[in-house]
Amino acid sequence: MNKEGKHTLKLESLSLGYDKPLLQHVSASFGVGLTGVIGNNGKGKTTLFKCLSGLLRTRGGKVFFNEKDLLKLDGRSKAEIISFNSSSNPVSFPITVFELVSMGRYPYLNQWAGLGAEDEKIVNEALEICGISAFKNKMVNALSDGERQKAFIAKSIAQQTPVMLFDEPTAFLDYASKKHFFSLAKELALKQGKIILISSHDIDFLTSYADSLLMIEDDETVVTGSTAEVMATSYFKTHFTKI
Amino acid sequence: MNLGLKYLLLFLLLLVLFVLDLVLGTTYIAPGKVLEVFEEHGSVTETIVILGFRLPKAIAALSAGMGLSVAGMLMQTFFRNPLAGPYVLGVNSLSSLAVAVFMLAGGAGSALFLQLGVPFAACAGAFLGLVLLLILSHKIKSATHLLLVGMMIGFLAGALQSVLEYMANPSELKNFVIWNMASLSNVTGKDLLAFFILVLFSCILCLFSIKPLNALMLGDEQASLLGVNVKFARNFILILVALLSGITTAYCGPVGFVGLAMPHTIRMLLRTTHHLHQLIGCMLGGAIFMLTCDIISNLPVFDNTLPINVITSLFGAPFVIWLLFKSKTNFE
Repeated sequence: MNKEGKHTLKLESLSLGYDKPLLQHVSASFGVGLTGVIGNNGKGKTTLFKCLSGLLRTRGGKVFFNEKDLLKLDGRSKAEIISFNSSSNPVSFPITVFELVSMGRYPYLNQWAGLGAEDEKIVNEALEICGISAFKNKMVNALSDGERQKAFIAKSIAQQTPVMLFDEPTAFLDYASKKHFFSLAKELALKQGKIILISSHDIDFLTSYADSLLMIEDDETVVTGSTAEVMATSYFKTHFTKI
Repeated sequence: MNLGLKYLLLFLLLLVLFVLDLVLGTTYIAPGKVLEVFEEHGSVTETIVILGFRLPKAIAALSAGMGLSVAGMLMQTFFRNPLAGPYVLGVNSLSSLAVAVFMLAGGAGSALFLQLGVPFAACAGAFLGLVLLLILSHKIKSATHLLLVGMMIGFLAGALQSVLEYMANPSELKNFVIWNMASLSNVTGKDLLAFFILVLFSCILCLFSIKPLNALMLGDEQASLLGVNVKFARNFILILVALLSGITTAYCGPVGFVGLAMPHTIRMLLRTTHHLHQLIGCMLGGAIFMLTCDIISNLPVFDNTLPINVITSLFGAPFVIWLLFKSKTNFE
């Protein structure tokens, strides 16, 4: 926590990659609010998220949530702190939207995976604010790509974690839904004091809504700062503006 | 219809079929007379037929049906593949191969299994299959690849089994072929009790994997993001599968089809993928299916009792095709 009692997420000299290193010695700190993660394809946005959420081992460095060493926590405790909305969401089972969103509650449930009244309320609220209550009993694999994306966003919201990672959450959404998502994320960050990282190629939306940006340049340099600061850099101007 | 009512109906159906299995057979024994046998004042012949033959067979059918359906359910979820069943992992194939070695490879073959009999050979084979699978699952991270490797092991074991069959003498071969067609009537007394208890025990163990199973439907990554210890769940589920299918093969031979078909039927019937419901559903449904098959195989219209594997596929396959046509809740 910082001085005002708000959550913080700190990366200390974090190195990541697969067989070869992708990003090295990244240090950054995120406070409550929306942070946009931008960079060209294959530059490590998804890899960064995978490392933070514990899906991928880091190649060195540390991640702190408040004073906790995030990378040393067991899976369940981590799942209560950080949620990761992946960009690929394969569902091959005939499972309903409600069942999917309920899974957001799993870190808090015992082995029977039965929802309590409070859990059910949280799930229904998540469905409501994502605008998908109407088809909560529909099968996920019968949904359109956009609707499915909303269902997975609702699952992340139901997980109620202080840190939320979204990897290209708006790829399949129509314009109105994109706008709805960004304002929803902003509201969650402000009202509930969450740290929300969103990687997206919808630069216009990101620059309008995000409080700060993390930009990965082509030579793997990582630049962080307030949205205005990062937008003023020459790399941003050459790579992320229309003219 | 709510779930409770569905369970009640399934349970009643199970009871009715269990009674029918005792009543029907090559000769009809009226329910009243069956009751007399249980009250220990039935005629000698009827007592022998019911207690010595039909009751053990019905309990074996019940246990085999439960064990294989639950094993199939575990595998379909674990591999996220609707084609998975106890047969495709190589566990059962190695079990069959071990029995083939025991029955067909002469003195050396049976000595290999310490002369301990077919159930022991089958269990040893299943256990070997499991160990192989656990080692491989550490090396192979993708469930689909593991499934393919399991199938390859199955083919390999099948080929070796064919070699043994080809070289075997006719009388031994006949015995093996009959074992391979599976039978519910070879388990009696203590073996039967052990069979039933082991299957029930393994099903109860499944209760500890409900949450991981649900989460695994979304894939390993999603499950671990939801706080599931995927590595542990994976080993736990594989051991359960080997236990359930190994035990059943040991006592009844390689009973086919049930493990593949029942989980689909139950998903469509209950319209939920929550594994607590699937588990209960598969236990009830598997038992119902096997009892039905046993009743059909013993109907007097056939001159002889038909092998159980013939019945499971002959009557089961069209039923599942019909279900798939009717259903809207398919796999993708």
